[in-house]
Amino acid sequence: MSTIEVRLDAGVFSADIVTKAAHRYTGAYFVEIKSGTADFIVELTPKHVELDTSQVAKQLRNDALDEKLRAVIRSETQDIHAVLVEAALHQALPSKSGQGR
Amino acid sequence: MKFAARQTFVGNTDYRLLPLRFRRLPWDQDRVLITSMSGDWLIAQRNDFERAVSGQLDSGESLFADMESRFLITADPGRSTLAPLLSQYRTRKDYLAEGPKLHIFVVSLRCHHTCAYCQVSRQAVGQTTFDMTESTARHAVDRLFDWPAKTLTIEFQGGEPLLRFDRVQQLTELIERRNHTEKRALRFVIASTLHDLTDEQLSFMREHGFELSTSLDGPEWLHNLNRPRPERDSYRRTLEGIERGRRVLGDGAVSALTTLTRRSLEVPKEIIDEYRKLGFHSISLRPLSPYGFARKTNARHGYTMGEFLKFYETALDHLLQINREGYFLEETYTRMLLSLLLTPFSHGYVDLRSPTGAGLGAVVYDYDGRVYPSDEARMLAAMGDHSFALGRVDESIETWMSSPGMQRVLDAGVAEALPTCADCAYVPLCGADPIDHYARQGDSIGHRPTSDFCRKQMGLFDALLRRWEQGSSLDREILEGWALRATRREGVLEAA
Repeated sequence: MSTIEVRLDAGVFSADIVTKAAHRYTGAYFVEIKSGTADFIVELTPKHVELDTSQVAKQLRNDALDEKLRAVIRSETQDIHAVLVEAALHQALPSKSGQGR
Repeated sequence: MKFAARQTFVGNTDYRLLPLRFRRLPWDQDRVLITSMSGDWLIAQRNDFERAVSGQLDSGESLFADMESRFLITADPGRSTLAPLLSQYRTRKDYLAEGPKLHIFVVSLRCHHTCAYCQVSRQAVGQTTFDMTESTARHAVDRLFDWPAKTLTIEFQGGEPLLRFDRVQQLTELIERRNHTEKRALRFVIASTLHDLTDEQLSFMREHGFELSTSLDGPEWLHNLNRPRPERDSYRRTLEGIERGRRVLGDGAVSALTTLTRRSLEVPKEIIDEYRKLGFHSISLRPLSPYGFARKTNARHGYTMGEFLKFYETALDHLLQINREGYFLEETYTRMLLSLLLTPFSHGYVDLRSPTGAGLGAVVYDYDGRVYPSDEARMLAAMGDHSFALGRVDESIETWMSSPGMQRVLDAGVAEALPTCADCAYVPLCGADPIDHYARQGDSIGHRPTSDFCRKQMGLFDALLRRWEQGSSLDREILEGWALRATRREGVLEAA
């Protein structure tokens, strides 16, 4: 089966973002990521012949953009997320401990 | 009277993002579903959302107000409070507060059926060594009241629990006697084929307020095919049981669910029409599980999750059509998912919790005195894999909670911390199911791109969101009606 090659600009996308985006394709494809001087190259080899691969390169590029957006959100909100969860669940403790014997 | 300019009432127009997740809509890649940490959500154009993330949203835009009201952003920290968001999050996770409420007592593994898809590894009717002993029953009742929950659902399962109804009676009486001092709210459910149900059994059930949960796989030919007895009269016996149960306990006390085989997927409308014909107002369309006999016969009866989702879409459309005609008929799992999508409340379904409901929402007391965090863990143990066994009924619940089996559950039990799930827009509404992932993929954390659990959840949420968004006002009304109904009752999705 032929391998599809998708190039992602290393100046725009970090290795972490490329890896997260590519991981989503590990169900239907064998995935390899190569690091070049200016690009990351993601190689996708379909696991099954009947797979429709016509849109996969476009989808992966969109997913990489979405992962980049997620990275921004994560960076801005992860501290407050931890504080909020701790504050919210602080009172969610059992009202009575077990009396096992 | 002259009003001040609109800008006078606008505070600081700076804003900051609150924890949120997003997902492109599969049916419209230019729009995204955005969810807050508590599961409130909205749909927006992706480019508008990108502007919001990069701090370019203007306070006069409607999206600004929408995102602020759903706690996706917060503006003017000096005048805003996040207390409602904390309250929403706590409400969504309310199931954490009291520990396990669902307690499953397996009184016997014996059964007179030979269902190819049986998840339980049932035993022949004469094999009484697979019954719960009196000593085990007494210990299990002691442990039941060691848990702090104010409401306890006691579900009797098998095999076929009616084959050891004397043990069901003894357990019920022990529990009620003990409850004179404990004062918990009790709910008794029996998951049974309802075959050979006697007047004495029904009388006892009425006296103690039992609910009946049975299996009905669809029309006669399908039910008899899926659930064979030597006499080939399984359907007739089930219908007789349902009728007698309704007569004595009331229509609302008898529920049924369908286990779907490959043949079932060919006839979604026939299955649903059978339930309508029999006067049911709810149906549970349950795909096969990878346990017990079901695993052995998977090649013959199994199907892919994609095939199940296709079946589900047809079934959902048919259910909506029936409701449009004025007959109320809901699907129980759909009702639960809709309640997560359309209401802020918690739910009683243990398979869709994060932290997981296994051991934290449910406990199973097996016939031989072993204890498990879920029915699926018991099924794995019956297949020779005791990875999730918690201990025995004569040990303390603290011992169970610190057991290696419970540690395995907890290590993969928080969906928000699992790879891929952590970024999923549906995760505030979804759950971690480490035992299911272990059974299907050999790893309790699992690999989401090939996870059937994930594919099913995403597929169902997408299907419901799309119908809610694109459906007529009547369709929305129907779906919202199911969601609100879910907040008033907690279904027990188990049956013999």
